[in-house]
Amino acid sequence: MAKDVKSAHRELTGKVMGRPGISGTAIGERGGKPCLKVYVSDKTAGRKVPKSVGGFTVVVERTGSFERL
Amino acid sequence: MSFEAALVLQQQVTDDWLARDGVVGTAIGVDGRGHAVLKVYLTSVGAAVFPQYVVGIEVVPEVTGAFHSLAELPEASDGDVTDANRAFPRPVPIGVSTGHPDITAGTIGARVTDGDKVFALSNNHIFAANNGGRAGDNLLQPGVVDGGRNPDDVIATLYDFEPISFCSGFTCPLNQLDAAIALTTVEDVGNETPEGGYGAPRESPAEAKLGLKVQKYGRTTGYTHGQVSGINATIDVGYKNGKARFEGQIVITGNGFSAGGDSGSLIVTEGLLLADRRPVGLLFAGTGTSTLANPIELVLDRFGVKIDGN
Repeated sequence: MAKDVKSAHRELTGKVMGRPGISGTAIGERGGKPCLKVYVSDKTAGRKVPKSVGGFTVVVERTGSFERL
Repeated sequence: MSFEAALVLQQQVTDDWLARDGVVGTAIGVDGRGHAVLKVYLTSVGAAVFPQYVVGIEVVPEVTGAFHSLAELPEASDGDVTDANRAFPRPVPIGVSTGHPDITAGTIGARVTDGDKVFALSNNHIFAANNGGRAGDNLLQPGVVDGGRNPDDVIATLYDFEPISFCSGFTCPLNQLDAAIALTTVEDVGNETPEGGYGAPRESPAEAKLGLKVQKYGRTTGYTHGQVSGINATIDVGYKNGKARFEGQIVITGNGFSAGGDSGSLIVTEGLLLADRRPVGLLFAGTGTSTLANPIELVLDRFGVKIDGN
């Protein structure tokens, strides 16, 4: 299972990173199940993200842009 | 977003929000980048739920508990303002202000050792000024923005750092670390946070697992608590000199877990007995709602050191 979510994460990352408004991706958890996350800085970027990859739900989180602290 | 806009929003919503159970106040605050935010103070975690943004202004819930008059203030608790940005007598605690003379300020994460020499651990962008530092450069406690002067306030000298590769054109090299170590002594740098923090970290790291409860002590927000909400993250991070892409990172959720100046803080587990205070990550970036950290084992392996804790 862990291997599957990692390859799904790689696929998602390859698809979305570098697009405007996309801050990042990660593996997360929703309802006790592994999911994929996409961090966005604006709502419109989130709408163009796939709903699922490799059977894993993609959860969009509006975090804003990451900056060094 | 401007302070005026935040004030107008605050006036519009405060009566309504204060009428909800569990809401004890609202305030205008600033995020790590100087933007105005609207804070909502709550009696307990999840006491009330708010949208993350209202008319473009970020809403930041903070658990303060009920407010008391100062005469009956309970023991110091999460979210208290700290004085971790001041100068400390040597040996200085970990979790307090530090920095290269060319930057503002960050945090001393921990004392680490290779079994022979001892070092202070922080980020490249704190100790090595975003790749600009040279081995032997003086490092200060407190950092320049907190009144630190070179050479009067030297605490350590830059020893080694992992360079950050910035994006250029359409290529974004992958980074894993924003880390640096500085040569010091046990007379200059201690291995515990200031009082009221978690104390000394343990030597043995813990892997960041989803849902793991964590804590940290840092220069700006002091002692705070959060939870791992994302692992193996690929994230574009904004720096003074441009954008850099990181992979294999840890995302921590918890409003108020970190802010500008907390970079370099060590993130440790929060648990019972031996599961408490185990090193997890090195804090280096964030948004208003999320914090980003390098996995600590990668950091320690890079420099061939261990956390000098207990």
